[in-house]
Amino acid sequence: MKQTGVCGNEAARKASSTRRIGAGVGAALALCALGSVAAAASTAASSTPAGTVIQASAEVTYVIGTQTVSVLSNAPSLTVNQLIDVAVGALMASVPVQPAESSRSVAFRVVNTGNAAETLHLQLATAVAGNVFDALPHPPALYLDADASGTLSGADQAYAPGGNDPVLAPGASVVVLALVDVPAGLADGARGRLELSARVGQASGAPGTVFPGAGSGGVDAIAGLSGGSALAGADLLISGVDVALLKSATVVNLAGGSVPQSGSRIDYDIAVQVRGRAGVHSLVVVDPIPASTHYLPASLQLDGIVLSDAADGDAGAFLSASTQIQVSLGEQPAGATHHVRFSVLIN
Amino acid sequence: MKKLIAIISLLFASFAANAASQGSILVKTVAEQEQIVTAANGSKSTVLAPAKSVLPGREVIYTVTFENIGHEAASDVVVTNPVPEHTTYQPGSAFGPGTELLFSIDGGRSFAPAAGLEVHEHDGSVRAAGAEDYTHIRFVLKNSLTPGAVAFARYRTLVK
Repeated sequence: MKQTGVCGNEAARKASSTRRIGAGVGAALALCALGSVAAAASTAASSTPAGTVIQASAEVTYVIGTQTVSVLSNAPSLTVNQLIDVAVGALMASVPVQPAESSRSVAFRVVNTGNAAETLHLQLATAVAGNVFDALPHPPALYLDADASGTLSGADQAYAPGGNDPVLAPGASVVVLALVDVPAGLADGARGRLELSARVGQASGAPGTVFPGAGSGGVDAIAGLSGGSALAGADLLISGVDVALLKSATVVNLAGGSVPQSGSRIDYDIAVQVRGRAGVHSLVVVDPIPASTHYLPASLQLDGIVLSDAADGDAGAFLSASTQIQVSLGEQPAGATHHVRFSVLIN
Repeated sequence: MKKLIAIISLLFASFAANAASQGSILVKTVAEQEQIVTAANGSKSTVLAPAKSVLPGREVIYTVTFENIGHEAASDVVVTNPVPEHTTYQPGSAFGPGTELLFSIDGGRSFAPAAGLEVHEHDGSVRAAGAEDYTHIRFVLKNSLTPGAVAFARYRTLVK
């Protein structure tokens, strides 16, 4: 019981580790209070840990006659109760997937929003009301994302309920990966929802429920707004890749009319449409020059803009060796439409 | 334990000695929380109830009463309250009849009215101090506290 001689943070630490302070020690600690507050002002703005003892005191100085007197008040102690709270969120609310895709990982973040370390129980549900399809958990279905990369990698730990339940410090979070298989034969746009739930192992109940003495170090534990359990969903969205090329031709007889004959020009228009729900990348349109025709130099256009025939900085080229035109469209979002135009002359 | 009690007794004894010899002020701090009470007729009212435990995000109301239990008037009465560790001062909550209100942002070394406090940041910029910067709240009694008179001051804090 040598706290009487200890001041500042050391006193606060000891006070909170004993958690219960008699009136005598409280009064003695009050003598230190003035010195310890400067440190208090610089502490981080996170939730005060459960079991912390908060003390306040006042110092009064006054003058009687010519003498200045200083007295300290008592220092009432408040113990910080344990707040049981957890939050879950999906890293991506909508995850594009392909039919029959195997071992697809979907990432969630679980956060201990309470003020004491908590053990969390995790559960994945794939059969969710309103689903067009239910994904199939790919055993062991849940992984703890050790490197918080959001994707499955070598160091990630398979989650075994009751075996390696994550223990999170106040404010700490863990990324949880759900691994699922997508059924085959699903139409573009079909949705299947996954839900990850996290429940505080110690206790959960309606918000405000008090668990007397159940908190860290014997303080009361109180269910926060989450009630100690939370869930979040992520939608798997079947996103087929579908690029349509619609080619049309117009014959221009240079002598007049539209009857094709030697020397007539044929204007081609290729409409490129990205129809699937998923965008595409590295999209390249290639079209061989038809037999018995030859490419009309400087006729290649993309969306009305003339492209040079050389394979250079712009998107298009006429490749004389393989006698084909080539236009690189690169990354294209779902719904994009472009027009590639070029002309040939009939031999 | 006996040793501790002995030390505490000694402390109280010295306070008591001050009270006796110098005519003194008895000061007491009370921590309370607001509670909503529903009456039999269903009407709700907010009352202050003694607080023993709190949750982060809740408000604690501190009331300091100081009474002149001596035979002489006490002048230059100043009540200084460190903002308790793990809490922040609730803006605008300090209240003490007949007092001037001052704040400190430097651990109690200097005090000024709220409007005059500025924080000098490390990058050289200067900003007006906010409630989260306050380290101490001080009430300066404008008049002397006559024998038998009781005054009080109150402030609210939010548990981080």
